[in-house]
Amino acid sequence: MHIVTRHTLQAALCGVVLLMMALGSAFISYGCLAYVEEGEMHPFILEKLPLPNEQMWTTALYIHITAAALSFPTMLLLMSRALLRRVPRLHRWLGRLVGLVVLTALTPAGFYLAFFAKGGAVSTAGFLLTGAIVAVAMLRAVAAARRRDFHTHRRFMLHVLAQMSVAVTSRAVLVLFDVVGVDPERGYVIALWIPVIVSALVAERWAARGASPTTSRRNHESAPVHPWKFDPAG
Amino acid sequence: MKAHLYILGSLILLADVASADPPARVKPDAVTAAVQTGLVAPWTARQRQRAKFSRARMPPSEARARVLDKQPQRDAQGSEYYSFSVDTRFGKAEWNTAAMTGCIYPGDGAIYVKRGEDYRTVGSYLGKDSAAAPLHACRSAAADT
Repeated sequence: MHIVTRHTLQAALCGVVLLMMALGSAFISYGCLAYVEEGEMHPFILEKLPLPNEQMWTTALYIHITAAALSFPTMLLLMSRALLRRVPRLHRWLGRLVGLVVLTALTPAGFYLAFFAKGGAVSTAGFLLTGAIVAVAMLRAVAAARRRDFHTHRRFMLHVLAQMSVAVTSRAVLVLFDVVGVDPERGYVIALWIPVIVSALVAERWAARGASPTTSRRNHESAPVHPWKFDPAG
Repeated sequence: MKAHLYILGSLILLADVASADPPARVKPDAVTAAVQTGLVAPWTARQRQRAKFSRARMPPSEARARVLDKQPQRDAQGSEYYSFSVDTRFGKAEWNTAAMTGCIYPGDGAIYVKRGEDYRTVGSYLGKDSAAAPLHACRSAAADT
């Protein structure tokens, strides 16, 4: 009974976290509509000026935000065990789509933008690190899926999702810092690095536990095992 | 509506002073007030309305206009203008000087703000239009020669 309660609570917590991430992703995407409305007069673009190549920078920005708006919600959907169980082909095709978007658009554009980040070299290093984790983890996750090592696949996909979640958590920290009056420059760096590190640690710990983020162990044990599914035993 | 009345009042004040004899220059306070009502106040209000869940800098808690010229400069067309700077402040931190720079023409109240190396109309900063400033705007004829 105690174990069931604990796992139920864990599953509920996971659900809440994923819901918060989905809401955060929606807020970010909604906020990005301002780029369409304001164009080159958007404050985020204005504060970067002067840029050595403004056209290239804005192109990278639009690629990055479009790729993120597509890939992050899809990644959240791919965490659904129900989707995996009921429509495995959709899981695989969405996975391929996300892998393609992340590796060809999201991370390359992010790497370029990192060199113009607020906060100087420390911020740049933080963005390069989170981008590198996403790219390497995605490559390893894809390779693991192709050799049907689903435990490793799940572990690295958790790292991809965790680093994508930095987009939400770091913004949440920035809003909090603004409320309590933390210096914006220093706060920007802290609000980047803490979520990057904490997300990596949480993903690794989560993967090590072998528990699916959306289901309890009871559900895992009852789920039929297929080669294309996560190994419920971890 | 209230903001429009402030801008209108400032422009009337500027026009009155600008139409006076040449020695009677526009008072710097009046120019500062015109920049404050024509740019700083609506720009700050617009910044506070936008979504905060963004990596863009948060809206400043305070913003102020400073006129940089004691005497007006003249552009290539002979029109008089004053250069100004907008300083911003976040919380109780030091003032961030020259967060925006630009110029104002007391004659017609036109305000231009620097974006990179170019100038834009004030409307483009307030989401009204995205027109570029005339090439001679905010550029001193003395500096061009």
